[in-house]
Amino acid sequence: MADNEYHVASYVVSTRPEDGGTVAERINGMPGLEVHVEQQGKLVVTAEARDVRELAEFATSLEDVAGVISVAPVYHEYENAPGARIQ
Amino acid sequence: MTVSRREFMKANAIAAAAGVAGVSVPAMASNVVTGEDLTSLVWNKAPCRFCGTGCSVNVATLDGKVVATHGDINSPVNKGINCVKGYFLSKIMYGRDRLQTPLLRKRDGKYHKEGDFTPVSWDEAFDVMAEKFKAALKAKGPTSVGMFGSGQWTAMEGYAAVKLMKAGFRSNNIEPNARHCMASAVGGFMRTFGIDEPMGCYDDIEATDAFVLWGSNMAEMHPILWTRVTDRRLSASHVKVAVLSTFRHRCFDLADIDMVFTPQTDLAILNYIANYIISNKKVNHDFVNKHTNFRRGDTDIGYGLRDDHPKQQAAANPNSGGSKPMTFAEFAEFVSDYDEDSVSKLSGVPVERLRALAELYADPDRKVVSFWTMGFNQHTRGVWCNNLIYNIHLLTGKISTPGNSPFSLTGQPSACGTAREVGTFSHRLPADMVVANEKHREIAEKIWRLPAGTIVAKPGFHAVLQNRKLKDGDINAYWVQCNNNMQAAANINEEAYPGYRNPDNFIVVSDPYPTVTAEAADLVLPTAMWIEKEGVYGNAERRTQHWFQMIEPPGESRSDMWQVIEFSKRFTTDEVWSKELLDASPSHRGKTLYEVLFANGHANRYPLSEISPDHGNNESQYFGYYVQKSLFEEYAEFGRGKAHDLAPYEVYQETRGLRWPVVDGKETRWRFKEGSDPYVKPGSDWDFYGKPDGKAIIFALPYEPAAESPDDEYDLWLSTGRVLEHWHSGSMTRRVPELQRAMPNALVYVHPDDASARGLRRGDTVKIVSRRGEVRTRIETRGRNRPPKGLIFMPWFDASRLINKVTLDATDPLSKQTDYKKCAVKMVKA
Amino acid sequence: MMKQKMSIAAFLLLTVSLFLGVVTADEIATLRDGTPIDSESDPAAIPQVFDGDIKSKRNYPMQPPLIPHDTRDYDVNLQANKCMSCHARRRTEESQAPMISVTHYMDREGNFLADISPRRYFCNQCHVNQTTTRDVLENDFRDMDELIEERAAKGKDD
Repeated sequence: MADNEYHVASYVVSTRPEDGGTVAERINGMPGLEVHVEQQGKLVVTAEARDVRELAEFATSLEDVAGVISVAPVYHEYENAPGARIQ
Repeated sequence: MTVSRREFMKANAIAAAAGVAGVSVPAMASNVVTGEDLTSLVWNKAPCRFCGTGCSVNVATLDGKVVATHGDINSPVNKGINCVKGYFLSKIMYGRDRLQTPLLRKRDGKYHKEGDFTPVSWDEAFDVMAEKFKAALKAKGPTSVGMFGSGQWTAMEGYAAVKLMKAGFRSNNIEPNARHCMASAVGGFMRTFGIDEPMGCYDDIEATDAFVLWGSNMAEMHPILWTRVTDRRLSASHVKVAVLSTFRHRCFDLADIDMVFTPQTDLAILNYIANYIISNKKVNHDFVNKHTNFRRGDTDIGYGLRDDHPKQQAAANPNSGGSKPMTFAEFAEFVSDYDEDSVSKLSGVPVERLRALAELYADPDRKVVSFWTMGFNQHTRGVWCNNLIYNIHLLTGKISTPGNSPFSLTGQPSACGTAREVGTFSHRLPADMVVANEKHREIAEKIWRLPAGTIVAKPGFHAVLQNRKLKDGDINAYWVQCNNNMQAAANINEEAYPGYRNPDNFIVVSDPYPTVTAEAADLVLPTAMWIEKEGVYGNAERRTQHWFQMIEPPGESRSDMWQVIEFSKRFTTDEVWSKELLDASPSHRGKTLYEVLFANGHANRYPLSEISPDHGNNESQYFGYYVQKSLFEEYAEFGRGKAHDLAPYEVYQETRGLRWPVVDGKETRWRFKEGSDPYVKPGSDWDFYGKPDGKAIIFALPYEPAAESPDDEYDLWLSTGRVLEHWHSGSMTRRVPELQRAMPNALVYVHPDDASARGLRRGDTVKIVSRRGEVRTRIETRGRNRPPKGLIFMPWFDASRLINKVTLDATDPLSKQTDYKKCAVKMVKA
Repeated sequence: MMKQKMSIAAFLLLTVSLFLGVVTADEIATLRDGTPIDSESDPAAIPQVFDGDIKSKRNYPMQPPLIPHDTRDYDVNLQANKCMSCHARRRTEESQAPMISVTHYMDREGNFLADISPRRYFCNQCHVNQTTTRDVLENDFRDMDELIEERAAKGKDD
């Protein structure tokens, strides 16, 4: 991990329509995760982390939340990660 | 700023997921930054940096950086599209290893030939460089300095270099890398027509009924022209495409008549077609009688090798371009040797294909465009090939009218506009004039305000000879600009590399990037590229195109032109001109070459106030006058009124280029034809005014074998060339990640049977070995190029796989252009 | 006469330091990654073509998208156009491949045609695959979105 490394990723999380609100509250209480939209069981969630490993932990924890049917990763961007610009 | 950038990243993440989820984005996560002043990009036109097609692009800059390019919809050449290289133009200036300071080999704080590259100031760089050039001039005279420039120089850069070398140092040792690409075409034009450059234009594509590609892989090398050919072929069902090459490539995907022929036998096929036309009574006698003469050319002319080479000693008429008049009947007799059976046997092409091809030309109702580039030009009989294809179009009168066009395609973006038109060759002056002609020298001396006798009559050393002279220690101070000749020139091991590393020689290389040529040099100068300077290019259809400076070059890099003009300040006439010349013109005494060549009141006559207020112009700001316009207008004096007319400089700033000759504001699309070309004598219908009697020449020239054919030990033909994704030596395109990833390394394309016969499989490491050197690479048996058995093809874009260690520096003896398509090699598992 | 080759990226670091005046070096030809001109190095294996079918971000809107899947033996010639078997409009519902851009329906003069314009027929002239090679030099091209955002941020701070 380099100084000042930063990762942000976003996911579409699916729940049963009636569970959306509860699940959103659960996720908001978890470290690194934030719900931005909740609509009919579709949630837009971001994870922010200091390195890839931490990001992976947050993402995996999403899947374990009660009421979550599926987690679809959509976006991942990072800054100042070693090897970040050599693809 | 970091915080808001992360906000931006997060907002993008949210918006992306919301998009996927199909839900609306919360207000604060809006990821569309609007506001006109924020999204306003500045767009300017420029010709593409790459091939001779000369597409126009629009370049978008923001905060001093290029952020996008787009095919210019207003350009008649490409009408809004580019090829993949053109689409990545915005990245070519930003390779991380861009040179930013001059680098001089030093040891213990001083210049040393074997020293390590050390950053130095421009002052120190020019100090050492001037010292070396002066030492060479003093010890051995003007033949001991040399310059190797480029068909990728702007026209004004080439012009400045010509003045410095021919008028300043009085040396004719200036050559462009275009010698490797178009010299045979030029030779063909001069021999047949007496004047250079195609008589038709790209408009012929949309007007024709047939295309014949002779050794030209347009799909990869002139892609946008290929889209126009494809458009024509697929839009009009009667149109036919014939493709001839020594191996199958992408153009064969559009071919109605496909022909793979044994290398060098194009000469025989060309003569066969002439024979077919004559024996089938399809000659346009009216045209032939009025507009052509017949001549029998000298044969057995050698291979441009060193004089002591056995093949040179065996030649009956080494380097001879001579010819004797002949009659049509004699010509018919000459080509009758090239009957379909013997030509089929020699070339490996089935008789029906030969007939089908010949019929395209013979059919009086079918218009034909012939295209060729390096298959014909990089050929030990390249000038002959050019003459022979013109024969066919002349015998049938299919020339200079829409759709009837023998069209010599140009490789580089300004081999026409700079190298050929400005005359940056060892034997030339601008506008097709030559140093050997006294009248031409007088014209140049007059325009350049020089004393009579300044320009030397004897041609200098041509490209291949320059490398030999470097090796032999006859050239001792050498400046390479805007090319990568250590990678590009044939026979690296025996000539190029020992030449540059010869301890008696001081080599200067100007380039934006550290290439192998820079590595082989002693002084490396960081150079501005493309839109980091104002310039003009001229493409294959004689279209001159202008662009403004759009961004700043990085660090201390400066344009080639700045370097040449600034360097000229280091010399005075007293130091470099002979006593006789100075005595003849005392007013030139004691002046710097800068004062004489660039600040003499004429070459600098347009003031700074005329530069565009909307664009930078580093050179003009530095020197205090409008450098580009002043040099351009002086250069244009050579050609105006002599069928090479260029429009006034401002016109090119506004238009998407114009095709010369531009007379009374009107461009010329078809030359030599009445009604289209203002130089044609009224009433003559066709007037090949490059020749004194207005008649083009039909030449009788035979098939002669290649310089080095496969034998028992070296049992394969090697052909070399390019690929779509990379331009030339890859110094720009291999620094664009997407292009590098598309084709990271040069492979050798091999027939599967040739591979298995040698115990090889696709992907194996092999050595390609010739009598001169070897290179290692990996085999490709199922790639885009499918050679026949007995031939392999390898591109030269890869600095880590220098195929030119293997190639032979045999040339066309007339054009001095290297044959990169034929030498004998063996291939072994490494 | 063989030399151990550095990766291009590692070699780049060396030469960039050189240009900052820190290191002196003899072999500066970055794309030849440290092999002297008069010797030969081991050629890297032919890399695989990326077949992940994931779109990569375009550098700017008009950039032709890269081909994110293997196209071996996908012929485009007088007889057939294999790319269009998925990317033609009428095939996209079944293939779920992106439809060829609407620009591909325009002829040279900008008129719209019913089908793909012949001038666009040979896809490979603009669209290329990517191999998985890691030997890629760094490029400092800046995405306009980044620059715009930086501008906006600067504006906010003022």
